[in-house]
Amino acid sequence: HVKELLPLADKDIEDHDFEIRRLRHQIMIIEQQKQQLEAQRAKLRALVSPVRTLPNEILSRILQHVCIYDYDDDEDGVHTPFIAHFPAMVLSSVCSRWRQLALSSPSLWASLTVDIQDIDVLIYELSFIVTQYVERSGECPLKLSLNFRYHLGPDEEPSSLAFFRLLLRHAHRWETFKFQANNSMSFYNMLSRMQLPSLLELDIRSPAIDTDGDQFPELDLLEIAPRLCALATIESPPTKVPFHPLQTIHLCIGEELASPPVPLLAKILHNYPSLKSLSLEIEPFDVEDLDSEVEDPMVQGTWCNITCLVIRTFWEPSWLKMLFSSFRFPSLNEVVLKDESTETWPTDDFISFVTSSSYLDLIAVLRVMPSISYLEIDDLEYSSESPITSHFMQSLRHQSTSSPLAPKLHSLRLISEREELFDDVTFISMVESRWFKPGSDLSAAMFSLGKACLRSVVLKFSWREVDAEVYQPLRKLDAEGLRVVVAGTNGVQV
Amino acid sequence: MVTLVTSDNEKFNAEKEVVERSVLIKNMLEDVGESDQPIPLPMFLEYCEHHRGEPLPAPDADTSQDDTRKRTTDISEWDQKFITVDQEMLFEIILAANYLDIKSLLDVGCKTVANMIKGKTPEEIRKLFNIVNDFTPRRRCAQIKKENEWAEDR
Repeated sequence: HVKELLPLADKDIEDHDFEIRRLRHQIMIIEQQKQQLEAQRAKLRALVSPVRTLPNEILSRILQHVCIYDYDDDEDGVHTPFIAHFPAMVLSSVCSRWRQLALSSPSLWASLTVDIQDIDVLIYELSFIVTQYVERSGECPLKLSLNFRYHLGPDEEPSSLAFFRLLLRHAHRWETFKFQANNSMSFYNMLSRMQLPSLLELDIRSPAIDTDGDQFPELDLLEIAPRLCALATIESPPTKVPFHPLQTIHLCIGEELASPPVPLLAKILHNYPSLKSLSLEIEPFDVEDLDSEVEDPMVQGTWCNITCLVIRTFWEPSWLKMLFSSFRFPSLNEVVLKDESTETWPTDDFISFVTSSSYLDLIAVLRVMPSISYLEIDDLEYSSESPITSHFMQSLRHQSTSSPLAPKLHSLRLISEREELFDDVTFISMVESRWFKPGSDLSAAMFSLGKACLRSVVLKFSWREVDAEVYQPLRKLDAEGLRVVVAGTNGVQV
Repeated sequence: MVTLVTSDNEKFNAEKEVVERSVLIKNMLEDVGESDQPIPLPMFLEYCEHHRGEPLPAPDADTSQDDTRKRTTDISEWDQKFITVDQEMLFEIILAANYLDIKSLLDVGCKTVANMIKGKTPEEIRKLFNIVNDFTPRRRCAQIKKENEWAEDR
């Protein structure tokens, strides 16, 4: 009986195997169909994809933005993926349209950032990538940023690397060159023998000291890069002076600071007569090591070219006072002062410094002074246009979405003596926005947010009449408790 | 005051100074002169209202070079909030800014898209924007593959 059952069982198993094979085949067919459907869906989605609607001119603009390397990302400690350093390669591999656009835009390939940690792994790829960039960038000026974390041997130069030799062949096109290296002596050596006729920006914030502590001789930048207009360095600035083309200096000074920073600043200003932007960053140092008695007749003067001043340092209070009282920058429109040591801020000297810098962007100044409570502006003290613009008043206006300028402002006094357009409507709306009726819920809410209520407003015109009708809304606020004075050539109207 | 009418016939009143941030509207207003006729335009008032009073770029300024030198991430906090919208709306804003010739808004839109792309692989970009990989001819595929093999495992 059992013997009869065995063939039947074999038959059943065979049938099941057959059914499994049939179903597997069926699944395979269905999976293929699914893949086709997915591909079809992707095509349909692509047809209605919003990015398709962009014309080439806008897409090109976007690709340009992608290819700008943000140096600061690394400085902020944010890890930049390796592939992000070669965005043009990535963009040209997305689809045929993007590839066509990328290949027809040489400028996309003109910015190259190479961050090398282990040269052995990347040497082949780098040569290939650099070849593509150099060829596809045509004759565009090259912007190069090299970060060598890899240790070159004592006698090894960057030019021993194939990819770097490729770049050197195009040295006449270098417009920007930034390098950081663990062993930077080899770069200084190489640079000292180079001719970079197109170089406009040089950033060499690596110490020019070899392993024995020997200092590399100063680079003759006038000879190497006669058109250089922006320099960032941690070494002393070039001493072959006057260096006329230089317009921007970013100087980071460490332990080697030998004299107080104010005479140093004066020296730089004297040596680079075309300087427009000066950034001075001084690492913490031991004040006692410095000769604080240094007196320099040059430490005074008016510098009309300077439009941007950035100072980050540890200052002695007396030096800060000296800085504000010694220099005048009448064209200044941007100033960043970051001092981490001074406890007593010389307010009077700073205000005098600011008002003497007549082109200074008032909005930028107020942005770094959020605690200011009293503000008086007489536009006659400004040699250029009146700073009391619509934009300025708009910036002072309280808005729910963002914090206004001078959130603690209690008292505002504006004296308009220039016959320039004055935006009455914006002024009124600004004052209204900063007035919170005492005891109201709004007043309590604003107080809890650290926003002060305006208590006093004075507006005086020496050149025009005041339309009392226009300023009617402020009369109402005056009745509620805000002190308002608006006067023109026709007398006090509010 | 100027009356703007959207494509679905909604009307907005705005001050001339605000809407003139659009070079297109500025030119239209100059062409039309003083008129009560509404100008049909899509909505962009919020952006222009916020940036009221800021200096306008020179009419013939070629911003493509200078602007691209700035850091891509340089978008003000307010602009970032304004442009935080879904992809479809983002591209509509870019197209509208281009049509209306509002350079600053176009720039904010382009920088935002650029920031979305930065640091991604080609495949990630395709997924992000629903782009089909249409490199079909074998030779070109091989070239692209060669160009990107270094990126695959890093």
